[in-house]
Amino acid sequence: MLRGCSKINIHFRVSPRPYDTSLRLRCFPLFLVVFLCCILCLPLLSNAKVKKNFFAVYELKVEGDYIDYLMEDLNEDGLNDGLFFYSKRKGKSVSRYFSVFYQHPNGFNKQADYRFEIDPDAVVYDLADVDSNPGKEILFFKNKGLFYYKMIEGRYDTTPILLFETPSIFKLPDQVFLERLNFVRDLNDDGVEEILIPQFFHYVIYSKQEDGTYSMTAKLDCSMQNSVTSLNEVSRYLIATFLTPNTLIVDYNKDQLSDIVTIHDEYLKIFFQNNAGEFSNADSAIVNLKFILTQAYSSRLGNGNIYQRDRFKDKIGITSLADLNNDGLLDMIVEKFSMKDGAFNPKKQFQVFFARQDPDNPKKGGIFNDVPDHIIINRGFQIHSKIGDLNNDGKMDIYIPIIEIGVFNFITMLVTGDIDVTVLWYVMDDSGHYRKKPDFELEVTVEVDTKGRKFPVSSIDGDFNGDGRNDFMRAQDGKLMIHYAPDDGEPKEKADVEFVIELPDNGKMVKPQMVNADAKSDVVMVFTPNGKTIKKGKVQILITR
Amino acid sequence: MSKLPILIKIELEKMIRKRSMLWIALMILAIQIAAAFFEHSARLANDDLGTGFQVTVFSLKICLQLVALILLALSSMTLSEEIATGTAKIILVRGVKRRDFILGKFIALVYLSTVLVVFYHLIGLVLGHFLGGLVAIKEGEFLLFTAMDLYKGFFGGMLLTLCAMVALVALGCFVSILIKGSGGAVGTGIVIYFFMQILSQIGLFQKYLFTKYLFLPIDNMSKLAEGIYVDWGRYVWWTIGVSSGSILIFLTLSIIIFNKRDVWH
Repeated sequence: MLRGCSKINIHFRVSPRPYDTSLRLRCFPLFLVVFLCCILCLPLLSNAKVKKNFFAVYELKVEGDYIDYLMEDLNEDGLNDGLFFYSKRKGKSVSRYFSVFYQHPNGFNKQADYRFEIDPDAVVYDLADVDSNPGKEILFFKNKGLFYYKMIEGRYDTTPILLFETPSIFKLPDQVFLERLNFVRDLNDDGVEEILIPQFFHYVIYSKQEDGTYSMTAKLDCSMQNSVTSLNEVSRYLIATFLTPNTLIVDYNKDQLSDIVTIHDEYLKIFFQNNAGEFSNADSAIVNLKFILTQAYSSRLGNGNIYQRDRFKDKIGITSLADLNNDGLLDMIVEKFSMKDGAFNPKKQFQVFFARQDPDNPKKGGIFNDVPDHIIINRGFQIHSKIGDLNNDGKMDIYIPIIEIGVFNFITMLVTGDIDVTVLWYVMDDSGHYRKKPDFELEVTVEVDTKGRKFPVSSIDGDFNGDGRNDFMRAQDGKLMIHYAPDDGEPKEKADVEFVIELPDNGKMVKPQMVNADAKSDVVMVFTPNGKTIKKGKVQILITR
Repeated sequence: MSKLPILIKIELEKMIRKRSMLWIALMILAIQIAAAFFEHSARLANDDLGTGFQVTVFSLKICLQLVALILLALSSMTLSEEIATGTAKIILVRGVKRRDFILGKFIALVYLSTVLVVFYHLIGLVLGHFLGGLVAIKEGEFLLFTAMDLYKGFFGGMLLTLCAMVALVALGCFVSILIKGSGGAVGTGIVIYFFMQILSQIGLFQKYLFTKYLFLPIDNMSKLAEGIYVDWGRYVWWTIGVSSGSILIFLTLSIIIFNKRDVWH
């Protein structure tokens, strides 16, 4: 035996074999099996927990297109109900409907409790309690004035009732959609909602009187923005658009009273509330901006799709007007968007302007420096940039999810339908400033629809564990994933909750909502039919258990 | 006594004597200059001149892609050519260790990579200086990065690029050991390179492949030149670590395989 071995050694020296191919071939299947096992075991390393019972799922059937909804307590039983808008084509005509899904103690029925056709002249709607009857009324504008559907014995009566006659910019209805505009708001925090009516040159406020009627209490000088565009494609059209300025009801001047802030192309106009809870032109201020905001470059239809004009032109808009540093003054985040370097390489700039008290007129609230206090620049497609308090210190942190598209990851996206998203968090420090460097970068994968121009699921609007802080929701591999707001202020890459569920192609239609009576957010998903798997009118409500 | 220094010297002399090398280097230079002028004119047309750093980075991005391919091709054929033509035998018969033979070629290629990478980076800076000026980046009156920040990023990025380029050269050497014939070796090297580039886009592998770090520094520099913050600290250790690991693996495998290889028949 030993002699045999010795012979083999001598044989190698005399005539060396360049490769021991037989050994390599024998080992190859073993290596392959080990490699595949390693790959298959990778998902087991994930810390995320698939929680089958995290949500109770209710599937609702809404018989139509362009579904939009409001989750509010319609019948005032303490549970939020669903008021679903949809439109239905009958031959050449289109009718618009509301479906009402009441929430019962054991959830929602699959079919609507009842549905009714909307007045064909209705232009925009809102929900409010304007009538002495129990339940909320559905208010809507018609050419003549403001009307409402009254709730009688737990059902909406389909006869429109005139609340009051008034001119407004809402003259002609859209044929297929009914937009919701939040025009009924409690402006002076007295528990009674006022009605804010946009007219061509004014905002008119109607307040409820002691006898239950509404009368005009203020006529504020505030012009609507407008544009006229001509289309010269097949036929010649002229499109006249009127835009209500973005309107915020916030305390602008730190007097503990809500003010009306309207955002115009080149300035902010603020109407201050006086101690009597009234607004007037005399008590207003204009804060000029050092830039011109792009006018309505993007518009959203009821089906969640976004249509953009001048997509490749530079745009500028106000992302946020909120008190970022908790000093009581409204700060401003301006977003500049540029596709100069190509559609695959968009550039976004966030300019943070911290408000400072106007030394000449301290009662008029904050003014802004000409030069931004901070600038954050990013490249890549950005989904939804938002502000939120990540570390619960009362100061607003900035959340920017970005997708960097290169040739290779574009191919990967087309093949797998997944794309890597980097969520950047800029946390405000103790001195009230943001750093140049993002404080946290969260690398996550989200699903995108490669067939259309749609959006992945990405939201920080919901609080799913009821701790009072907003959590991050996304979707991947057919799962809804939730990252809880971290206790240590540092976001985690591993999701705390994974919930297997069918998701709409369009992630924008997956929204956190408060549906049941607990302090935890729930989710409402509206599916757009894709001709294959998703049928028309599918809605899912996910209620956290 | 090790013959490694002599081997390196011989290899370098061979490279210098190759006219084709010089022509290729000049062609890349011409492309870099053209790219710089193109970028400058595009910015002029857009009324967005920015700074010269943007011109520098744009021209370098294109130039480094070519340099990587050239270095890969050179390193892929360096051994396979010598084995195919039989010159390897002449060297090895003189008592040169196989390990030294490989290392000599590798180190000479590292010298060449260094010269090319540094040269084109400096040319990029010169172009940027004349076509925009190497000044601080501002957005209106807001200072985003000082010129010093940009210089630091630029030269730091250059060193990191060099690390990854050396790993690429090591890959080329490894391929040249595996494949007989310079044409086949170059083709295989390029296919492997592109395959690794694709893999380095996939989340599971990307961190561990040096190809991810090949153009990452210049991409980061590009971001910096546009005012986008880059956390260099995140990439430095990964670039150095993965590149060094790759160099070690490819060289060790090259030496092991070459030691077992029959070059005499």
